[in-house]
Amino acid sequence: MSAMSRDGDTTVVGGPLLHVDGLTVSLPGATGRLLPVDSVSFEMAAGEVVGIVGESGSGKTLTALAIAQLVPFPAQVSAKALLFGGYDLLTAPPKLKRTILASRLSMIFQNPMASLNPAMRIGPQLIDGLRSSKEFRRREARARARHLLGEVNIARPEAAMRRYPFEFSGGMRQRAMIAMALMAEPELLIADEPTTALDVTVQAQVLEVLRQVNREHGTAIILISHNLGIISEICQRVLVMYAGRIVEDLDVTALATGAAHPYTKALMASVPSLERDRSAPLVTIPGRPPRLEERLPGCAFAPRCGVAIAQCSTERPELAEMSLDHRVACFVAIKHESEVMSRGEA
Amino acid sequence: MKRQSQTRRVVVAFFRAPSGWIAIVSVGILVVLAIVAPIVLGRDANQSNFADLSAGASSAHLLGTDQLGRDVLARMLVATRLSLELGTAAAALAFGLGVPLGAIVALLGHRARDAGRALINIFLSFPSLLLALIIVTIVGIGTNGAVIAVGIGSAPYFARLTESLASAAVGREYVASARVIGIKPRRLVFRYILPNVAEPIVIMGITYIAGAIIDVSALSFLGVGVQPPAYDWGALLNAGLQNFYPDPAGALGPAVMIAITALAVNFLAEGLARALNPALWTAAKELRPGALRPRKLARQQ
Amino acid sequence: MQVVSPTVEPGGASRSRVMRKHGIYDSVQRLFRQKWVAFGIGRLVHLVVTLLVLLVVTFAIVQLIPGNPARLVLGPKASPQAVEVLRHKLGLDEPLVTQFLHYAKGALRLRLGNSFTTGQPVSSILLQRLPYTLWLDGVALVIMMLVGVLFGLLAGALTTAHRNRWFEIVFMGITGFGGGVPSYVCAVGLSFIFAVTLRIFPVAGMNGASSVVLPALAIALPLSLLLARVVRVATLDVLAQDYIRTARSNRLSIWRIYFRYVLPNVLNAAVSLGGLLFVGIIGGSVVVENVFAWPGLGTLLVQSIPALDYPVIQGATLLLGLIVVLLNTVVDVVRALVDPQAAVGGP
Repeated sequence: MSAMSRDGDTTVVGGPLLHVDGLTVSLPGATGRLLPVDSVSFEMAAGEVVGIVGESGSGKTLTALAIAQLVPFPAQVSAKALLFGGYDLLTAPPKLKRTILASRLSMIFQNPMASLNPAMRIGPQLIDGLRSSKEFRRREARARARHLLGEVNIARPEAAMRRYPFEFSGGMRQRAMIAMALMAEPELLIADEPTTALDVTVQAQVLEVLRQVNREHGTAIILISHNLGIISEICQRVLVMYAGRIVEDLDVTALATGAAHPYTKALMASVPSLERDRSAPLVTIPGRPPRLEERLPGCAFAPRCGVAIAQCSTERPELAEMSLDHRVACFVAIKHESEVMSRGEA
Repeated sequence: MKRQSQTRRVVVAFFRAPSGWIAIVSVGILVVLAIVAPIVLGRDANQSNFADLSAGASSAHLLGTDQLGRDVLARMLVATRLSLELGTAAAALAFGLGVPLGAIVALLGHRARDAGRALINIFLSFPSLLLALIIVTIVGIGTNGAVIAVGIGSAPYFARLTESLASAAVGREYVASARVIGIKPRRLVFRYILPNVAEPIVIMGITYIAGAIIDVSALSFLGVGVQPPAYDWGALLNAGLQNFYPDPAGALGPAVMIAITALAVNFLAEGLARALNPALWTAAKELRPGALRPRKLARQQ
Repeated sequence: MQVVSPTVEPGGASRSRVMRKHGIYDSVQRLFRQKWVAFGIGRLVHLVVTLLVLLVVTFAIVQLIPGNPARLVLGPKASPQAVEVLRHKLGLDEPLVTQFLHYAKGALRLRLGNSFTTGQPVSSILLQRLPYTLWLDGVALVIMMLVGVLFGLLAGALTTAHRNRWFEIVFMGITGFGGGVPSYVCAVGLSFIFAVTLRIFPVAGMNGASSVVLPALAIALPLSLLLARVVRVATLDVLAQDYIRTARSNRLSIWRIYFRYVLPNVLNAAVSLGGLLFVGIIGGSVVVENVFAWPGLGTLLVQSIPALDYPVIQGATLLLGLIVVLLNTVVDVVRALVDPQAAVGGP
């Protein structure tokens, strides 16, 4: 796979845009280090839209922060490999890393209300989105900011740039944040629960903006949410996280019928639908996710799993390819699949 | 029965932190000094050694001698009594004037209370030293004048504190129901409101003793407080300053005493506050009086 | 790229380009347009009432003196006739209200009588001394703000997320002790270190630019340590905010983050305390001036009290009080400007 790099040279990028292997985030705890993110591995191609879904506490936000190298003290990031755009983020010198990340990776966060500096106008803040990138020229930056504000449907961008954040509504602020994230024309945009704090109507607007960004600029997106509905709207692929680990990695189209991991299946089942029998009780998953201190050997979901076998409590299942573009971390699922395959071949 | 165990708990909590111990010990030393020093060192403090006028520190006179040849160290220790006495008296006066005033304002009708509050705030917006100097002019300079001046000058602070706490209490239901029953205002104040706002106010009162000591010393230092032949730390500081070049210790000694006393009393109050109810004091501590000495602010966690 | 119709935005026509530069102009415009009426009138009323109280209090000085002021001034040996003459001269035998009006009118016209000790007109004495006090207080103010904010910022930056606990302890110790030290004690200490031991700065008087350093430091240091405490807390608060995370994700340099993202928001929070501390500078200067024999209003006031020079006492108190009132008003206005949101209100 080759890609045009910024300066116009054709660089043969022999691999994916993002390659994550064994990403772990650790926190100091009372009895040793805790692992809110526990050996996460996946890959993303340029222009792909990937969703990460999971309950609160599953480690999805920290995973994103770790990739963006924004993990706050005292948490620490370690990985077997963390490659972005061909660069090794773990070993790159700080200045280079800063420029790469500023120019090619952007992140938007959950709560737009507090994400903008109340003491600065919108214009300068957007311009700050470009400030640390390779080529920064003030006048061009200002023009680009104006242009992007228009692209995210903020009326009268020139005037908007002179406003303070408190004059904007929540939806407008989130769209301004998206504009800021797009200033440097990033190749990867990470959106952490971008719609959670917003009204449903505004949600649709924001998602549409993200869809357009991907379509018109080829920007890859990682969309993080606990809401399967949002994920399935714009993502092509989904990573399901539980207790700091990826338990399944599959196509969005396969979610409804082809999910293999018991947790994923339970998640899908728990989404209420309008056609359901109203009198039947809502489906829930019994029990609760393990707390950080409680992580035991073996599969993290085993205590709550309906089909767990003995092996699940003693050995930790790793992500294994079940079929093309479908990985799952479950002994039962893999065994079931291999049985089906052998039966099919027989 | 419950009260007793609560007191016990408070005392235990107070001594758990090292600051509690430091406070009690240092305040204890100061009090002992106040009582004992004039008795033991009284003669030395007043004895002029004409051979050694304005001498610097030496083995005989650890902090040197003043312009009349008197031992500075002895005088400094003896002055503890007067400084502590006057400071406590001034604090008590400020407390006794300000607290009832604040309570009364809190009980007034809506308009009167707003006016009263505004008036207190206006007085509070001036440095208390300025107010004290005005009062000293009226009442006359001297020991009494200084105490009255500092007392009245710092009363607005207690008034505002009491008023805001009492207003908060007045807004609550038990006061409304008491009023409905027809309980007279005087009884209302003393039996219903004051007991409930007493804790923070008393803490601030104790804290303010340090401030009062500093303020009275300031007046003496300026020459409008304690007059010779009596002397407190402020007066000694003044004398020491005039003698600064030959004997700097003459001024540094009293200065250090003032600073240490302020620190000790502050430790005491902080320890008390922490032992009683940490959350409650954050608001109260911000409202310290004006410019005589600066305010200390609660440690926010 | 029109998906939904663009939302209608608040605010009217685009502003002129000239206004673009400073938030202050924008704030003033907004203030003017929306809430300035309530705000301005409120402040004005407060100002007038405070000045009135000041006048009454200074007037009351002479009135409240127990005994006969004229006799006090002339001494016990003076004849009753002389006392009567002075009483009449001072207008003390007229009704109270008349006296007050006379006094107030005179004050407004800067006619404050003559000094009992030197016979000079009080207003000229005051005017001669005023610049020294203003200069001292101004320098102290600047030092207090600089030291307080910088030290507090540093402390905040170093102690986020409970890092460097040792520094936090040291910081609390220094600010606790230093903040509790009164300005005159600080003055003596500084005098000792710099004037006597090191002989860098002059011990007394106003001899050229360097002599303002020690007195200003004496006033400013304790207050700045208190300010630092509050600034540190405000800094910790700001650093935990989401917009700092945004700035970091934009990979901005540390300097820009602190200068444009942290500092302005810290100042917002710290200005309230700063206002209270400003007043402390005036009070502190009254005492410190006397330590350093600084030829300002403080030394004037303190000298005139034992001398029973009532016109001067009244005038000096009035002037010092006026400075305090004006300072408080300025602080309130600055607070309103610095926080446009508080002044105008968000959506």
